[in-house]
Amino acid sequence: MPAREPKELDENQIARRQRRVALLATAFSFTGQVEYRHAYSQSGGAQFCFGPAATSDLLLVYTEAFERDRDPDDFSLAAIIAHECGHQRLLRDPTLTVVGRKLSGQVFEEVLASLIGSLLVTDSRDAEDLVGKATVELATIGLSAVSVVRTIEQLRGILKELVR
Amino acid sequence: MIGQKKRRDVQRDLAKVLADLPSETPDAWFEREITAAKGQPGRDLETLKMLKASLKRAAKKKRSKTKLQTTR
Repeated sequence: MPAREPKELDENQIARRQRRVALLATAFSFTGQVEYRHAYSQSGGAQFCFGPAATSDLLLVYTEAFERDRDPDDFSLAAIIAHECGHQRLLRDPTLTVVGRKLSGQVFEEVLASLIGSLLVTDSRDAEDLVGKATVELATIGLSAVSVVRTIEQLRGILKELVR
Repeated sequence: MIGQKKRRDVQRDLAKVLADLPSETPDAWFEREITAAKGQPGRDLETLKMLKASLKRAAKKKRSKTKLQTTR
């Protein structure tokens, strides 16, 4: 099967995307390199790459993040980027790394990244979407519905005090 | 990574998870929880309200989709 290729954009359009991504990353206090890649990925639109130091961390944003942003049934670009910034906070912010260590594992990392992301975004709908995503993710470990909601409520309550 | 699942599908899955809440409707459960959580330390009203709102949006979307299908 041939690889899917994004519609061609001129330099200005790509530069505009790069600026938009950089602005959002700055708004969410991302530290490190931010890159827009005009290509499709298997990441859902963005990827956080942990570097040897915060300044070498990398936030990669791909074409599908912009396509998803245009789709009213999908996550916004801000929500996608905030989730990735949530991963960075979880691994770089000393108060949050403690939480991350206590609740380790792939599922918890995704849950926490979404909940942190929900505290970074300014749009309440993006925040709701990320809380919803965290809830669905947590439910995959087999807790009852009540336990899932209570855990999400407690975790987000704790993170609210720690995320600056 | 946020994953490839669309927001619409996440909302549908959320509605499925919350359908198991022990109440006549998940909405009623959230109403009671929100009332009980008011002014209580360690409770996060905002998160409960967000989940309730997501649920409401998912239900609204489902209703409008059903309506579209039946009017065709």
